Amino acid sequence: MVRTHAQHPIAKAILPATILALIVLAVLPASYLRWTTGLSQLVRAAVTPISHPLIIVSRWLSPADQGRESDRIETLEAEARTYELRWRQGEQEIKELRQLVEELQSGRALPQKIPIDYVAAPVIGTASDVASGALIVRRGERDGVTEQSTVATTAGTQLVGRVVKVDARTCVVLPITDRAAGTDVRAEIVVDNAAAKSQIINCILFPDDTDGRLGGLATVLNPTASDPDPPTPRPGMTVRLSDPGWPTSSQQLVLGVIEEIRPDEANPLRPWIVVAPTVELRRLGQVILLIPIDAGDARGGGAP
Amino acid sequence: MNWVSFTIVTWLFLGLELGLRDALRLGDSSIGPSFVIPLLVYVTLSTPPRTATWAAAFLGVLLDLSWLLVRGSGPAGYVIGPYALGMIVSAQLVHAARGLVIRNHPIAIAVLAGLAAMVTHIVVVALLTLRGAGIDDLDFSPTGQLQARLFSSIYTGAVALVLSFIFRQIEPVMGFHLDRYGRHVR
Repeated sequence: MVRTHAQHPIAKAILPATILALIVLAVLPASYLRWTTGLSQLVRAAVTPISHPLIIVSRWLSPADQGRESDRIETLEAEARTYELRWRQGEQEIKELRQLVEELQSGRALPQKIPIDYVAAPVIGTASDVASGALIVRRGERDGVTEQSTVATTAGTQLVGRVVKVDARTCVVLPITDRAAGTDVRAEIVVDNAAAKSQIINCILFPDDTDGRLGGLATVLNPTASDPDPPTPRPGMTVRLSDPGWPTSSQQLVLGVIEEIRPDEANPLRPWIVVAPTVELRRLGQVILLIPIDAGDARGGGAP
Repeated sequence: MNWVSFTIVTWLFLGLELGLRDALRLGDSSIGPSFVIPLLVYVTLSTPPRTATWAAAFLGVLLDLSWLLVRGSGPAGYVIGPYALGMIVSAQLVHAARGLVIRNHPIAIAVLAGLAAMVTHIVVVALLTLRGAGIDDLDFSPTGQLQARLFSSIYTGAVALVLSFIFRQIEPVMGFHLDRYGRHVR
């Protein structure tokens, strides 16, 4: 009797061997799976001709900031946000220069400020897993993009996230609202009171990947007992990044606005705030990458 | 089955998965449909178990390679296995149930796609929980993940209902060897 190809003992053994290999790969530590990046690049390169046009059409039909602002108000508010960002960053620069003067007086010097390259990059795909909000962006090592030290923003001042993986032509941006982005993000809310004295409310925010929001406890920094009107977070206030674990270029970028304030049973004096990004980060068609020209020195001090 | 046609159809459906899913998400939630799982159900209903298992492994590996697993510490990486194994188990489920349903009926494809998506996600969550427990530093909440993935599975079933009409159109190029009762013919 003629033995068919499928009946051959080796052919029969291939399928169980493949399943066994998949089981081993599924539980192998990630440090042994670096070789999969090359395969992933191949898959991404093959799928991009389909996924990119679909993303362009879907973002056009359903833009990231749909229904949130009219065009005119949006333009004016974007301008206001840009000027506010420059002001905040100026304030921070003054703070750093003061620190530099002190460091120089004591015989030490801080590293120089790293120049930043702003590069527009189209979103060409997303992750296949439903729980992941990662964006695949068409800019890579050839454009100077580096892991962790490159951050992505919108055309305005909204922080989108950080580059977590980069290859020659593309990179993966993990939005700040993705649970995998990290355990927490340090942020601040600046409250300008009537006496023209700014007070800062500090908060540590955690991503809530089920609804694209950030949440965390707010704490007034250095509150004074004599202050008759202590600052409190209110809905609509802008929350900005102030985290030494993030690159310098991303400091004071907008994380979002306070959407909701809830009392926290465990901390009655510290309200729990829910922060919503100003745009839907998962529906962006393009991002601006802030690429440090000397990436090695621009990396934040903390863990990713 | 004609593997060349299957590869081309897979390429199109993976493109839909990576390009269209975010646009179809329900509001700000992480609930979104899958396009690849209905394709797996369609192929499994029309091919012998061995072919269906290979197709499931192929589709699952492609999904694994399109999803970056980010760890709390250390570099992110692509893990081959969770989706591949999940889809192989789903293919076995669909194969076991195919004698009970009318092949290519839109409702049969929708219901089986929803069930297959649930099984796939349960396997993925189980393997990621195992990784998070001792292999990698993963910030992973199985309860929250299962809840969102359960609704995504139902959504996948609804999308499969629409896709079933496309599957009927591509049937001639897929090269399935079926008799007039929908049974596989060698």
